[in-house]
Order: sequence, then C-alpha cells, then structure tokens
Amino acid sequence: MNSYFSLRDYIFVALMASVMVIVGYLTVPLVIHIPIPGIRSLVSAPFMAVFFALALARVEKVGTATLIAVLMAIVYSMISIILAAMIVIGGVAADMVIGVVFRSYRTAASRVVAGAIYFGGHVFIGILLGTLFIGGDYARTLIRPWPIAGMTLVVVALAVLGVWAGNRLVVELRRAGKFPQLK
Amino acid sequence: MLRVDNISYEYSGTGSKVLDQANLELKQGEIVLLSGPTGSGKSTMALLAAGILQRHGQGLCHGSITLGGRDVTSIIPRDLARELGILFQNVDLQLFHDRVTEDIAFGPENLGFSPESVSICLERELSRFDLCSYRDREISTLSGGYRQRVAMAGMIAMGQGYLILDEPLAFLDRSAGQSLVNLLGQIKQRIGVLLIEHRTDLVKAVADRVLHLSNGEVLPGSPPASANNFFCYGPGGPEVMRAQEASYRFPKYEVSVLKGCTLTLRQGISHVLLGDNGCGKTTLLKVLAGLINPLMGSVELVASKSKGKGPFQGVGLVLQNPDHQLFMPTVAEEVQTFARQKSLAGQLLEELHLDPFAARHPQSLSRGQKRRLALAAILAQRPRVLLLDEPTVGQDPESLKLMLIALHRFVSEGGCLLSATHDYHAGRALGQVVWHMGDGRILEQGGSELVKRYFSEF
Amino acid sequence: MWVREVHPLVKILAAALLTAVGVLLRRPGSLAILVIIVLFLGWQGGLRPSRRMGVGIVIMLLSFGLVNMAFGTQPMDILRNLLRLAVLFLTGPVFTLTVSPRKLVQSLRRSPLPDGLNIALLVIWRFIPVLLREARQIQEAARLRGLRLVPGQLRLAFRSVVMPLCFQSVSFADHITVALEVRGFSLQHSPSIMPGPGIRWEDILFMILTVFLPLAVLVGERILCFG
Repeated sequence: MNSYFSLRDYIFVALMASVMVIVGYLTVPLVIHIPIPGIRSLVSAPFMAVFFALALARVEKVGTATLIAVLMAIVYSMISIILAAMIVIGGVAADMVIGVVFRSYRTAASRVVAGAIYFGGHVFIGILLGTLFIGGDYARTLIRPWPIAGMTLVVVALAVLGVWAGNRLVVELRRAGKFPQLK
Repeated sequence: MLRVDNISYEYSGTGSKVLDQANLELKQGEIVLLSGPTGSGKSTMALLAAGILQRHGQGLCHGSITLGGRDVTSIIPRDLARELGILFQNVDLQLFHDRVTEDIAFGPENLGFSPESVSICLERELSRFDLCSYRDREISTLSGGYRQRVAMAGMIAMGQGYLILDEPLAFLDRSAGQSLVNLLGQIKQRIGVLLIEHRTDLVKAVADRVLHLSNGEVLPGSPPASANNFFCYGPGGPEVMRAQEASYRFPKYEVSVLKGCTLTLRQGISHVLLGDNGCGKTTLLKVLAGLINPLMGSVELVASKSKGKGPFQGVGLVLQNPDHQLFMPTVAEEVQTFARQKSLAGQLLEELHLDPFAARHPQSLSRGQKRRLALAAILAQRPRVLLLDEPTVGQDPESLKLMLIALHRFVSEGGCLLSATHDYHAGRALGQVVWHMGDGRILEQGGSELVKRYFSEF
Repeated sequence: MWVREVHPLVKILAAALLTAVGVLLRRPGSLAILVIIVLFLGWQGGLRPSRRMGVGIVIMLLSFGLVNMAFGTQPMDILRNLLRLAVLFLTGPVFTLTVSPRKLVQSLRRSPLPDGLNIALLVIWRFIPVLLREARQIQEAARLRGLRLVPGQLRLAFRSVVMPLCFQSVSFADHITVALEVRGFSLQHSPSIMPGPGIRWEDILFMILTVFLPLAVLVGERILCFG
C-alpha cells in the first residue's frame, strides 16, 4: 500500500520539526517563569514559523501541518501533555482550513493562513493553562474576549512575519537549486 | 559484476557533462581505486553506480549501469540495498542509532531479517570490524575512524556483495586512514569495493586496480601529479599575536584540549600548524581568534583596540565548513557587505575567479568555489591576522592554486597567516614557520623541513 | 533505579493520566499527594536537580504565587494553584529524564504507529544534537564576522544564523533520505523488530503509583465533596 507521504516528506518534516524544537529549547526558557499567557508562543512563534513554512512549501500536501504537529507533540509530551494536545489541535485546525480553501500548500498565501491558525491556536490553551495556575481576578480578567483576542492577534502577527520570512527563504532555496522549482 | 557502460551525466542547468562515456567494471573480491581531483566526477560516479542520482537527481543521464546483469534503475531501492552499499564522506548522516549494536542491526532489520539472523549478522560484523569491546558504547563517544567502522559494519551486515566508499579518508588523519586501509584488505575477500579517493598515497597498496577520471572518462592508472606550489616569503616583521601557556578544557569534560600552548605570530609570515585530528588545532585557532577564552594562560593581539570579551577585531578565521559562514543572497554581496573598500571586494572576486558567479546564490556554488568565497569575504575585511582551518579539504588543484596565490599576496602585503592543515601540499606551500601539535601541546617548531619530516613518517 | 526500567509507553500514558487528574483535583491536600508521588518517582529514578535548576523552579513558583496574591486570590487557592502547577510541569520532565530516547524510539517501533512516523521520530531524536551543534557553529561564524543582535545589525545577524541553518537542514534532509534508502528502509515494508520485554514488576509498581493511587485520590476527593 502506498503511503500518503513519501519517505522524503517524512524526513524533511522531521528535520524541520527538529529545528523548531531547538528554537523552542533556546527561546522558551527565557520567559517560562513570566506568568503572561501566550508569552512562550510570543517569543518562539516568529522563529518556528520560518521552518514551519519551509516544511509546508516542500511537501505541499494537506496533512503536513498535522504531521508536523504530531511529531512535535510526541516530543513535547515529555514536557507537558497539555502542550502536546495544544500543538495537535493547532495542526489539525490548520489542515482542515487549508484543505477546504486552498487544497494544498503550494501558494505562499496558504502557508501564511496555516501559520496564523497553527500558532494562533496555541494562545487559547496558553490562556486556559494560565487560569488553571492563577485564579482570582487574573482568571476573571483573562477569560474575556478582549484579552484573548489581543494576545492571539499579537502571536498571529508574529507568526505571519515568520511565515513571510520562510516564504522568502523558499525563493532563495529555489534560486540556489536546493528546492524543486514550481511546475 | 557491477558494470558501468558509456555513462554520461550532466547536472541540471550546468550545460556541461561531468561524466562523458565513462566505463568501469567491479567484480567481487577486488578493490578498484578510482581517483581524480575534486570536481572530476568521482562522487557523481558513486551516486550513479548506486542508482541514487537517477532516482533523486534532476540531471541528464545516458548509458547504463548494471548489477548482475540487471539495470540498477530497474531494481527497487530496498532490493538494491541487499546487494550494493555506499558510504558517503559524512558518515554521521548515515548513523541512525545511539548504540553501536543497534546501528549495525538497523540495516538487517529494515531488510526483514529474522531476529535470529540479525543477531548472527551483528556478532559476525562486530568481530570482523573489531568492535566487540564497543558493542554497548554510544556512537557519539567514538572517534571518526571508529564511527566509520560502525557505518561500514552496518552496510556489510546487510550481506552486500559490493561496496562503494566515497572519499572515506576525507576526515581521517593518517593513523585512522591507515587503519581503514588495513580493514579494507580484510573485507575484500567476498566483496567488491569501489574506493573513490583522491588521497591515493595511502590506498594504492591495497588496490587491485587503479583508475582515474579525466575529462569525464575513466582511464587506467593514477592521474598526472599536479604541480607543487612553492612560494617565496619575506623575512617578516614585528610580532602581531602572542599566546602564552594557553590552556582550555570544554565544559563537562575532564581532559584539557589545549595544554599550555605558547606561540608567537609575526607580521608578513605564513605559519602552519600540523597535527592529527583531535590534537586541538581547531580549538587553538578559536582561542587565537578570541572566540573562546583560555582557562589558563593568555592570548594577546598586539596593539589591539578590542575591549572586553568576544572575537578580536582584526583577526579573521575561515572555518572548515564554509556553509556556516555564507548567508548573503549573492556572491558579490557576500564579499562586499563587510569589505573595507568596495574596490577590494571586486579585486578579490576577480583574483579568486569568482566574478563570473557574482550574481549567483552562494549556496549554488561547488565546494571549492564556496571555500574561495568564504576566504574572499574574510580577506575583504582586511584582517591583520588570518586563521585558516583545513583550507585544502575538498579543493581541486585549480581552486587550491588560486587560494594559495591570494594567501601569498596577503602575506607579502604584511598580513599574518596561520593555517591548520593535515595536507602535505598546503603544508609545503604555506609552511614558512611550522608548528607540530600533538595532544593539546606544541611539540616542536621548524620550517619546511618539519613539514617533510612530519609527512614522511607515513 | 527501578523507575528507569519502566516501559516508556507506560510512562507516557501515566504522565497523561497524572496530568488529567492534576487538572481535576481541587483540594491542596490531594494535589500535594500527587506532587509527592512525582518527586518520589524522580528520586527513585536517580534525578538530583542542580542548584541552578532548584533556584529556577523556586523563582517560577514564587512568580506565580506573587501574581496570584496581586490579583487577590485566596491563600488556599494560591496553594492549590501552585501545587497544580508543580504537578503539571514536573510530571513530564521527571518521566522524560528517566527514560532514554533510544528506549522510547524502540518502544514506539513496536507500537502500531505508521513506519513513516517512527522513522521521523528516530531522525528527530538522532539529529537534534547534530543540528544543535550546527547551530552553535553557525553562531560562532556569525560572531567571527562581528555580527551582534544590536540595533542596526538585527537583519544581518538574523540572516547570518537562519540562512545557513536553513540550508544545512535542507541539505541534511536530502542526505538522510538517501542514507535511509541505502540502509534498506522502505515505507512499503515494515522492518523486523527485535522482541521487547514483557510486563515486569517495575511496570506494575509504577502503574500502581501513577495510575491507581491518583485515581483513588480523585475518587476519594469527590466522595468527600459530595458525602
């Protein structure tokens, strides 16, 4: 039975996921003690999004975001199951939207939308986590539309910036002959 | 038999053939040495023989390659892996497990060997490659030579009849290289080995046949010897840099990499640092560049304006892997961005024959071109001291000649050069003042006679 | 250090369950029992945090405690929140640090996960250290060119790290794909797997401590609440 993803696809996604894990490893410890919901996504999203975009651009198939998410979730399950669940939800949501609207990740626009959904989705869980650990007025303040929307918008903007940089990188990779040309 | 019939190959977008009607035969039980300068098509031949370029490449291929009478392109990769193996230069990208036994067993497991057969293959190869005492070791703790053994054992454990080795000596020093050559002599009884190597002095003795690539064709014998580059240097000027009893140990390691190194670099002199892999050459260069601070002793750049920690201003270091240093979108920008003068940037591009590629992406260049580009980018900054880490690895003779001319001019104009190398030709060409380094220490100092003596021991 | 011998998949499932129970528990006393279980298992697994790590954990807990106070949370609620934080953020690392990636990957290969996913995970575990090393060498190269993360150099500094890292990882991906094919790996044919160990006493003891005991605590708490 032929696999939906080729070996090349799996390995490319694995390498990009590895770099994303390294980015998280280097950036998140700087802010992990700061009790602002979504702060971890804030610092890691713009850099992770670059390699997220590269993986989508190379594989192009719907399902790639979920594959990235599942791989990272298995790695992050060793830190926090909730974090792992958050990542998978983001990946599945991105694939569902792209599958319906764009049908593949060939275009730069599809990758931008996917990045916005994937990283933006993390903020919700981040806020929920925050309210689990900090109650009182903090929780009452946060579980409202504006704080959630505000933080989500900021993370989405940073992620979009990262995907945009990733899309520029794809052009350079094609110029250097390291990425297949668009047919 | 592995048979290459009239193979021609042209990489996409280059307009010229790397291989042109090349022919080759390999039988089981023999070692065939295929040599030739870098860029002559040796690796291309290896990748074609293993069917890799035909599957993954985008170039134009004519001719045929057969294994046991069957075209390699008609055999699915998994079945081809049962008969033919290939070991690339960078062995680390071919090792997939942490432990020696698990990695050796990986291939047989993928081929569906039964657990009992896997165990038998494993024990056989551990014994053959003298790895029994390393069976439970983590591969990351092994030296380069032993990691290569593990990779070879992992190939042969799959029961292959043919093995292609692509420049296995590239990252090995003399003793590890000799060890590998001895091993080849032992395994060749039932395996055909195509050994692709340009450092032929070590491997000729074990080869049954010697071939070389010239203008895309396979010809018998060794390639013609390339002309040695000899330069004359001046008497030199005042001291530029001093290291006094510099010692360094990496965090979490007990053993020091540098153990009290003392040396002096002078203006207008070309210095060479000789030594085997792991003796501390690269670490010493990084200490001299100011990238890492010695734990004991000192390093001083005379009349330096550098303050605080961090690399010394006025010292340039060209690293072993130029891919780490190239990041601009075009070749021209790579040199111009940090150049002291734009005219100097243009001059260097011309001198190093990089001007035809000025608008190209640096990552689209060949290995030799990238190394020249990395050198040009550093020279454009007009450093007082230039440090080179293994400048000749992967260099074709033409590329090497261009680099040596540029370096000679740098030294003649008052620059101070220090090259760390285990290449004889570079040592002879650049060795005005020579240090022999071993086990983290400077063992002796000399001139070109030290270079001859160091390499004549092997 | 019997905890290290526990099956990695048992640990992952136990971590998931402990996390879920930690979210559901409401009483500080119940959460404290969970924290003690996790710390005990870490101790049994040979984990001894460094001073730096200990200081880091204390700072994190203090930060959350102070924020709670600033937002007017009641003392018992503060305690409950901090204990819940401890459960959720200690469970994963404690269980992770007592299992080797190698054993984890071996266990996953024996699971019903697709071969492609298994090989991708193997590649991740194997090549994260390689990529980290590359990233460090790339950072060194950037420092040698005099690039810093300061205003005026941000774009170049970012480029000097991201570009080479990107090209190296793309190049590695191609090489690794070919290397896997050369080692006979194929998505169409499952590899033979060496037989693994069965259920052992370490697994049973671990499950008692991490599954049955926390569930008993949860049930007990609910009974006390409703009783």
